[in-house]
Amino acid sequence: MSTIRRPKDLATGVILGLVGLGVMLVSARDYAIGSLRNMGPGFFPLVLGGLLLLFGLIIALTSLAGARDAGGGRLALRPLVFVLGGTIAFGLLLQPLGVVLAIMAAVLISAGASPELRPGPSLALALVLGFGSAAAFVWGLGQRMPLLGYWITG
Amino acid sequence: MMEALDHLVMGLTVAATWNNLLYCFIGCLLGTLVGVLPGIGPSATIAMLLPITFTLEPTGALIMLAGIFYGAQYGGSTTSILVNLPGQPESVVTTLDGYQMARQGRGGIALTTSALGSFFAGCVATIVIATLSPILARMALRFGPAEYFSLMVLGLISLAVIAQGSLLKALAMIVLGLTIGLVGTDVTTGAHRLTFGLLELSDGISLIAVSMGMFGLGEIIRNLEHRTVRSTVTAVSSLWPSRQDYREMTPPILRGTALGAVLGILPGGGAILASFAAYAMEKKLSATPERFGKGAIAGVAAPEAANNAAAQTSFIPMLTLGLPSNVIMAMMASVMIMQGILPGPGVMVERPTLFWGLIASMWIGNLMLVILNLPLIGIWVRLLSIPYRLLYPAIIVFCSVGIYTTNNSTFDLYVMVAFGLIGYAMIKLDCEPAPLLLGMLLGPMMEENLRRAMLLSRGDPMVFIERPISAGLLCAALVALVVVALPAVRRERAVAMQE
Repeated sequence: MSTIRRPKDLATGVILGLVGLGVMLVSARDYAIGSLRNMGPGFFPLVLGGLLLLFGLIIALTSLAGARDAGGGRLALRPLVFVLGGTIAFGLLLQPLGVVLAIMAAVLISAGASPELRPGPSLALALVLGFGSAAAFVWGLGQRMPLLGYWITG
Repeated sequence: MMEALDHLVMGLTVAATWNNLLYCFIGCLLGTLVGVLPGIGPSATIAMLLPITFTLEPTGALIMLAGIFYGAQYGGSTTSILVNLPGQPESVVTTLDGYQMARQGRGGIALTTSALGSFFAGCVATIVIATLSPILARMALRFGPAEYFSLMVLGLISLAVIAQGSLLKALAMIVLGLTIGLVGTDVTTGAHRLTFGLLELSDGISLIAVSMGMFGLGEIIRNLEHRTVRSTVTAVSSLWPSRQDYREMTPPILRGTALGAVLGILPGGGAILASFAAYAMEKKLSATPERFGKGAIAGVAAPEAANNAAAQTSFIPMLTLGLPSNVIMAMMASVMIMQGILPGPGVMVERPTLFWGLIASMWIGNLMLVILNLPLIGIWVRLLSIPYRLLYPAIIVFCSVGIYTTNNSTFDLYVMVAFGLIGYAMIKLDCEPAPLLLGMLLGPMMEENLRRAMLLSRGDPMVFIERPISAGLLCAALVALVVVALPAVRRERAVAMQE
């Protein structure tokens, strides 16, 4: 039987504490702290890092007592991977393939995030969004994005 | 008062040019259009639509943004009433009676009540802004760095106090935000801080990329966790309230407006508080409190008027003090900064046409919403039934293209992805994104004012307590913190959040 009442709080506390510790170390090592009168670039981050560490510790410690949390902390990996993957794909493919194909790739990849979205509708959606956004952003709003990338135009 | 009217007339001449009217109209239309889509709240709507405004000149951009903001708010009310889906905490109260009215076939009347209440509240709030802003700005011009620092402390603490969930976590999120805000070049010494050697980070982390990541991508992932439940949209019948309805909605609208206008000015984002407080007040004052929660028209009228009044008066601290009181104001402030305008007391003096044009366009925006939305309600209802699986890829595309076009670089896009991940982790860990975003915006300002105050006082930290205004602000922050930390209030707060 574990004594951790709220695993979410424990995780939050540990992550915040580590970030705080990291910020403190970097600030103390790399930036001048200065004095109260004449603060260097390291002063404020050092204080903030310390506060983060403190809050992290308190949150982590209080997770050991009190009411249990409702749970339900399971990560939904499938939407996580496909949503972020689709977005990254757009970033990687925009210059080489151009905006239309990059959008289509982003849509087709992110379609994997939902089991309810089938291949047929995804392809249709990709075509509509690809050509539609290109029209709206590049022709309509005059944004500078390549319609066709350098892999295609050579 | 006369002075305020003069200014409003000047503002109207700016806002009523064809260009600005068009921007306002497009903003309202797009805001409502995206705002009524299921699963997209006002913060996400605004984050998504921000990049559209970057191509405009500053006045037009802010006017369009304000329009988007009102439209998104109105869209949120629509989804609350018709499908019981509040897109934002402010609209939660509206679902209580609004959705019940819709189930009784009175959805159209609830929507009209909300529109009229919001419009009236918007008119009053516009006058409040015009009257109060010059006074506050004049006061703010006398603020030294110590006062500014204390004001930011108060603003951030109030936000943590009002935030949902654990106070401790909200405070921690503020500190995390402040730290993230420091990433980039230190203004005083030019040193690169916390950039991990990445040259792209020397300008800091883009607040827009962070908002789009957390509210756009992070929420998509959360929404996709569960199989979507088809929301049942109730049919909208008549839009026009009866004479009896008008009689019942008028006093709540008046009271809600007054309450909202006052609470909105307070730092910490009064709109949520305003709608809850207005609902509670009406229930107490009502001769028939048992009808609340079963479709009482007062239960829609009061909170809708209150939250619109508060949403609008929350512009006051951002425009006059440079202190945004909620996430949406933080995004507005970051757009102003991108356009080369530093939010604060100087705006009114240096850019009077922008300032008063924006305020006048708030009123015009409210008017447009009424004219636009009542006839178009049929279209909005149909949008409500678009399944989420067809919407989310579109949101991803919009966010990706939008963030790319802000700087024509993919770096911000990857920042957005990173904060999509962080945002999702925060949702899973029950941490609120709002305090983090506000902290991020205020981080550099807070540091600068702290440094200056300490330099002026020759390193004596007592300066924050010796100067009366600064001491008062810090005292208020302390009181807010202590009151919320008291066990009795804590329990009540938990109950209030539950409702």
